[in-house]
Formats: sequence, C-alpha cells, structure tokens
Amino acid sequence: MEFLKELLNLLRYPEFGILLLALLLLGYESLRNKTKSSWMAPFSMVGVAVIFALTFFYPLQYGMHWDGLYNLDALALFFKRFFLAVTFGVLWMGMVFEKKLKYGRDEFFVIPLFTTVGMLLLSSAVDFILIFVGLELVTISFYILVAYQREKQTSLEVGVKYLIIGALSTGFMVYGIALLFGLVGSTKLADVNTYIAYNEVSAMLLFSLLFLIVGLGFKVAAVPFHVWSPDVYEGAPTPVTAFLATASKAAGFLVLLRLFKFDAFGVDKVQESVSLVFAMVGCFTVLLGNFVATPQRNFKRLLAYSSIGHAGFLLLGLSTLSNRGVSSVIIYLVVYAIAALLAFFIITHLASKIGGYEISKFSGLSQREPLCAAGLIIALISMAGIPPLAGFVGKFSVMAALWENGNILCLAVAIIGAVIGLGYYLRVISVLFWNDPLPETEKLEIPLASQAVVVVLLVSLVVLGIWQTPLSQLLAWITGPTPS
Amino acid sequence: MNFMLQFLLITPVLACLAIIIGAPAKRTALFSSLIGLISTVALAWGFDAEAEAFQFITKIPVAEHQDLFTLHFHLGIDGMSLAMLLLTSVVTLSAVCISPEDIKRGKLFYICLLLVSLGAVGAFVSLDLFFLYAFHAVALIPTFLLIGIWGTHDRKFAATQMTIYLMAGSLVLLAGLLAFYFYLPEPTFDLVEIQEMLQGDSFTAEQQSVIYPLLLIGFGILIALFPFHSWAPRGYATSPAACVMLHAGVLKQFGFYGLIRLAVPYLPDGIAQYLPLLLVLLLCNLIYIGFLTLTQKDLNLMLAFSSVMHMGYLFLGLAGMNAVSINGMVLLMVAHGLSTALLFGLAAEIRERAGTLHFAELGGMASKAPWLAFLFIAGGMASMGLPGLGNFAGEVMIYFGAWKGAEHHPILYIVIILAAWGLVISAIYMLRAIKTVCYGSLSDSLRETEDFKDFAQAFPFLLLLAGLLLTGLCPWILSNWMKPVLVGLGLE
Repeated sequence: MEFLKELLNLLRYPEFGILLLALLLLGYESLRNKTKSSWMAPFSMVGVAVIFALTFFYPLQYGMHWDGLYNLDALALFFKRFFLAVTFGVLWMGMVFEKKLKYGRDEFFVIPLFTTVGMLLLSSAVDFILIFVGLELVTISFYILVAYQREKQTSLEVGVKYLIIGALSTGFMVYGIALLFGLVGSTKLADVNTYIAYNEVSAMLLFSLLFLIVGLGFKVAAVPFHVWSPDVYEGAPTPVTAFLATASKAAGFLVLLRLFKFDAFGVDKVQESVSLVFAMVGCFTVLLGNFVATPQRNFKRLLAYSSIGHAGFLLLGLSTLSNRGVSSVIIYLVVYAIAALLAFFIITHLASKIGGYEISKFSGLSQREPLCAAGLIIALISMAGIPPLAGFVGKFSVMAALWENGNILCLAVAIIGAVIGLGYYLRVISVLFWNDPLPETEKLEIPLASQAVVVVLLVSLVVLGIWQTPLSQLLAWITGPTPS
Repeated sequence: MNFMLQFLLITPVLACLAIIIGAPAKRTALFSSLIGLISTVALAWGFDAEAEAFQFITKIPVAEHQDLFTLHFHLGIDGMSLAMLLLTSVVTLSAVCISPEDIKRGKLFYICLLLVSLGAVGAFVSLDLFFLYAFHAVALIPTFLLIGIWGTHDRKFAATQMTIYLMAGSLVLLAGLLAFYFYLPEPTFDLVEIQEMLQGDSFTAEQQSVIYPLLLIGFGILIALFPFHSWAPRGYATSPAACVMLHAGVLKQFGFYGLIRLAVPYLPDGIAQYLPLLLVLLLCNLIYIGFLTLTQKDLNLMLAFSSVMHMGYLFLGLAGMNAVSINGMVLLMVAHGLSTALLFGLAAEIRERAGTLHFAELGGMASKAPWLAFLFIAGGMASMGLPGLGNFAGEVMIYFGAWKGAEHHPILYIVIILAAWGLVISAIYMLRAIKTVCYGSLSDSLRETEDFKDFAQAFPFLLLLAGLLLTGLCPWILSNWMKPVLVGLGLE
C-alpha cells in the first residue's frame, strides 16, 4: 500500500503525469483495432491540456525533493507550463501533419510526450545527473522525431546529422560534468556553488565550464555550434521543427539560466569569464544567423537561421548575467515562442495545400487566405521586433540589459542584427502581400478550430506588445520570493 | 473630456475592425477620420491655452517590475501636441478623401492608412517615452505595404529601402532613449516625471554628449537629415498620394517633435557641443539637396526632394535654441505638413489626369483646369514662403530666432546668410514647376483634362489650403498655445 501511495504521490508532478499518459497511449495503441480510425491525437492533446490545467489547481509542494535532485520553484513551474503549452500546440500541428506520414501515425503523438517529460524534468533539475538524463531524454526522442519520414532521403540524412552532432554535444556535456565532479566531488549544483565560493578558480574548472557551454551551445544552436540546425529544421516534419525551435531551444536556455545565474556558477569569480564567452558567442550568433537568413529561399530554412539569430539575442541578454538580463531572456523566450508557434502553425496548415515551403509558393497569400497572411505578418513583425508587437518588448529588454551593463559593443551588434533581420522578414512579407497569387492554386480551407488558434496567438502578440502587465507579473512571480 | 484622447486612438482601431468584418472601406475610413477631426477640434475648443501642465491626462499602469520597466499608458497634450494633432487629423481626412473608392484591394489600403494615422496620433498624445516610440513605429509596416502594393515605378526597392532605413533610425533612437533612461537619477519613461525630476538641473555635459548624438542620428534618420536622407526622395516619389501625404506631412514632423520634447529642455549642452556638425548638415540639406531639387525632371521627385530640403529650416530652428526659433519650428512643422500634403495630393490628381509627371510632358494646365492650377500655385507659393501662408510665418520666426541665437554662437550668422539662399533655390524650382505645369502651351497629356467636377473633389485640398491660410494669417493662435510649452521647455 505504501508503495502505491508513493506512486500516486508521484503523479502530483506533471512529468510523471505526462509519462503515465504516454505509457497509457502506447498501451492503447498496441491493443486498438487497427482498422478503425485512431483516437491518439485527441487523447494526447486532452491529456496534455488536463495536466496543464492541473498545474494551476493541484496543490504542488514547492522546494527541494528527492535528496536535492529536484527543485520545484517558480522558475521550474513556469517552464513546466511553458513546455506543456508548447507541446499542446505541437500536437495540434501533428494532427494536421499526420496525413503526410506513411508510417507510425499513432506514435507521432506519443514520442513528443516523452520529449516533454525530459523537458519537464529539466525545468526542475538541480543535479548534473538529472540534467543529463533530462537532456538525453529530449535529444533521443528528437532523434526519432527528426527522422520520422524515413521513406524520404532528406529525412534520413538530417536524422543522421542530428544524431552525430547530438552525440558529440552529449560527449562534451559529459566531459564537462565529469571534470566538474572530479573537482567538486558532487554533482549537485549547490555543491558546485559552494566549492567555487571557497576555492580558487582553477584551469580545470574553466575547462569544465567551457565543455558545458559547448554542449549546451549545440542545443541552443549558437554559432559556431549551429551547423546542424538549418538542415535539421528543413528536413524534419514541420511540427517537430516547431518543437525544436521553441521548446528545445528554451530547454537549453533554461539549463544555462540554472547553471550560470540561479544555481551553480552564480559566483562573481567565474561570471566575468562566462559573461565574456556569452557576449562573444552571442554577437557572432546574432550576426551570422541574420546575415545567412537573408538569401534563403525556403521558409523553414529561413526560420531556422532566424531562430539562430534569436538565440544570439538571448545569449546577449544572458551575457549580462544581471537580473535585468535574466528577465529579458525569459520575456524574449516567451514572446519568441508565441511568434514562432504562430508561424509554424500556419505553414503546417498551408504547406500541404500550396505544395512546399518555398517562399515563392506563398505568393499573394493575403488575397487567398487573409487570416493566415495576417497571422504570418504579425508573427514576422513580432520576430523582427517592431513595436507595438510583443517581440519588441523582448528586444527592448535585451537592449536595455545590455545598456545597463555598459556593453555598448554588444548593443551595437544587436542593433545591426535587428536591422538585417528586418530585411528578410520584409522579403517574406512582400511575397505574402505585394505579389499576386499564383494562378493554378486551389481554394485553401483552414479548419475553424485552427483559425481560432491563429486568432488567439495573433491577438496575444498584439496585446502583449501594448499591455505588458502579464509579462511583468510573470517576472515578479518568477524572480520574487519562492512561493510556498 | 479626459476620455477624448483614448477616443482618438480607439476610433481608427474600431474602424479597422469594421473594415475587416466587411464595412465599406472608404466610407468607414472617411467616417473615422471625420470623427478624428471633429474630436480634435473639440479638444482645441476645450483646451486651456494658459495652463502650463499637460491636459486631458489619462494614466493607466501597464507594467511594473524593477527588472523590466515601469510603464504607464500615459496620455495628455500640451499646445505643441495639440498643433500636431490638428495637423494629423486634417491631413488624414484629406488623404482619405483623395483616395479612390474603387482602389484595388481597398480594404487593406484603408486599414493601412488608418494605422499610419493612428501611429502619428498615438505618438503625439503619449507622455510615456515607450509608447511615444512604439506608436511611431506602428506606421512602419503599413507604409511598407502601401508603397509596395499601390506605389509606382521602382516601388519595391523604394519601400524596402525606406523601411529598413527607418528601422535602423528607430533602433538608434531606441539606444538614445535607453541612454536617456539610465542616466536619469531615478530611471523612468514618464515625461511628466522626467520634467519634475530634472527641474533646474539636467544631465552632466558628459552624459549629454552620449545621449544627444544618438537622438540626433535616430531622429535625424526619421527626418531625413543629410546624409541619412536617401530613403526619402525615392520613397516619397513612388508612394501612393495618401501615404506620402501622411508620411511627409505628419510622420516626419515626429522627429522634430521628439527633439523639442527631449533635446531642447534636457540636452542644451549636447546641442551646443554638436552645433557645428548640425549646422554643416543642415546647410547640406538646404543647399545640396536644394541643388538636387533644381535638377529634377519629375514633379513628384521634385516635391520629394523639396520636402527633404525644407527640413534644413527646421533644424536651423533647433540650432537657434530660443523661444522664437522653437515657436517658429512648430509653426513651420504644421505649415510644412499642410503644404507638402497639398502638393503631393495635387500631384496625384495631375498624374491621374495626365498619366505622367514628367515636366517635359506637362504644360498649360491652367487653361483646362483652373481650380486645380489655382490650388497647385497656392501650394507652391506656400512652400516657397509667400507671406500670408503658414510657411512664411514659420520661416521668418526661425530666421529671427536663429539670428537671436547667434549672439551665443556667432557662427550662426554665417549659416543664416547661407541658408537664406535656400529661399532663393526653392523659389526657383517652385516657380519653374508652376510655370511648366500650369502655363505654357497645352501639352498632349493634358488635352482631355477636366477640372474638379464638384466641391467634394476639391474639398480635401481646400481644407489643407484653409489650414495654411489660418496658420499664415493667425499664427498667434499657435503661438498662444506654445507659450506655456516654451516656459516648460525652459526657454522663457
């Protein structure tokens, strides 16, 4: 009985809820009558929605759990909700994309759940072992998802690329963790913190830091560890690309925040060198992402490079390692995720009807499908950081953090990056709005429910840009005293 | 009356929603801009010209967090904002009026127009720098669409160039605003709080020498200050009439509005320090761009260059830095906005009739379309600075003010004498344009031309002309509004 009680108790934590959901769905899938249509998509979506809602209503126990492995604080809870919301959106896209899949339609709704479990664990992980397990769960399930359309050669190719690069980055991570363990004798972030506070900064410590940054740099696609991302974004199924661009990137930044601001290395001694590394990597990432996005002809590839650019902005915000910088990273992640989800949501719906992701295929969309065009233009303007949309609030707070920190060079780079960025967003907008529709096109029909999602995301981008109260309250909650 | 400012902002938004739902586009836009004009006039009626504080205040807290910002949706107007609001509503109404009802993709067109106007109105009524900045940028993408879809010639290049240029300017400006914010003893974006905080003492000279150049370049790009002007002529010449009326007439004045609000009261040392640079640049605007204007062979391009050129006078007002010159600046901002809008609007009418705007193919319009010619001549005269029309009053005050300012900076004497040649240049190209277009032998392109059919067609232009006459003959109305503003700026 005690054991059962313990098990039931586990379900209070959303990751175990999602895990149970995924296992139940797998069971259902193996037992169900294959001749009838599947209920996987609605089941998984309802499950995620219910668990998302429960995080608000169910009494959660804040604080450390399991011998200091797992910390449930406001930051963790916020990111758990963030990941659950993104997963819901991705599953919805999956429902639309499902028709294009030849194999494994059912599992397409289960594997993302395992990814989500990994991300949810990561949000709370304050021990390198759990961080590593969480990251691996995320990465391994992405190996499957990226190569999902295995009948396509490109899909296999990007699968292999992602596998090799992923394994390499994991190697770096493990190396870094091992070095650190050798120094500190513990894998807990808090112990690392204490160690650094009372000891000299040694070359070994800096080495391990470097390895950790490189490992996480692969995850967030920071230059020069970005080479995998354009190919993978282009070749992966669109919902998976959306998942990679939003949740996976956020997971990487979450770990960076935990490591370098909140838990492990939040000590002045190492911050200077860390800050310099982030600033340099961030500058290169902003410039390269935005420059190389400019000539892209494929919309997914363009979004891939633009997401590299956004990672650069996030790194610049992080490089200040100040409270304002951390806040700007959180704000930026939220508003970028909304815009990216909106863009991917729309192109998932459109791609099957207009036959591909070439930007030229979107020609004259504003006349054929005004709502989708409106959604895309709002998403793109928000990403470009033009007021009064939410994206501007993100860019604004990053720039403010840089100014406050006195990092004028980075600020100049951010401005240059943003101006170049506008160039390619404008190109897409001009195709959508200036051009006339291609002649041989059928009528596009977007389901009513999806239209509602587009409207909600679109309106939230506009509203958050003008009325930032939700964002400021969110920040106050995250950075404020730990709720009990 | 305090709800009036929100009402001014909400009306175009509601009109846009109505157009999306399916209301007839032009009529809705017309209705909305008419309401805008009426409520602005009502505001002017209820405006207390004596009061020094901002009026019709609304303050709604929006964000409050020490790591983000403390922002308030803070609206309010003083005499200067009121003048700009009147300009905006008059130009918006006439821009909507002259746009054809059956324009292709009319819904999008009128939505974009309303958004551009909304951005201008919002910028002029915001008392929070964040919203002042954000509202100004609202116009960016609608302008891009307006030029790209309904423009002429190489509109695609012009629209992209203009938007990227303006974005770059906005971001430099943003850096300047951040500098301003963080140098304040207690950082805030609220203009009223800033005014109280900096009463008497302002930033140190060192801080000013950081903030001011950023603001000057940022606003300078938005204003088309030489050498950041290259977006303007091409962008204006290719853009549809309604868009260029709003942009050249109203949005460009936003840059000066910002400089008067921020640089004049709080950064006097910065202005003094960078005065030589500013003087060189403004002379380039007046003389170099003036010569370029002389060489234009297309009416629209000439008007576009002329509009850029006139920015030089306004910068001269800034260089003067005293009550008279700043007052003249505001007067000229309004008058220039009206006259530019009038001329661009008429150029569109001529193009519609003649099919071309090349001087070589135009001539003799006065004999076929006397009213059109009359209005065009009136607009040209205003732009040249004919006494009785608004531009003259503004330019005279700027010259007087600058002369007075030259007591502190003797170099200004030379600049004023050189700048006076700008008047000659603008008289040459404007008179030549009037001669070529309106007189001479009747050109083939204008053989079938008809005049305005009824009052309704001429109404938008008469409205603008009436505004010019009002500012020209009764400049004291505006000067009275400006008095408390100038006191607030610390100039009187």
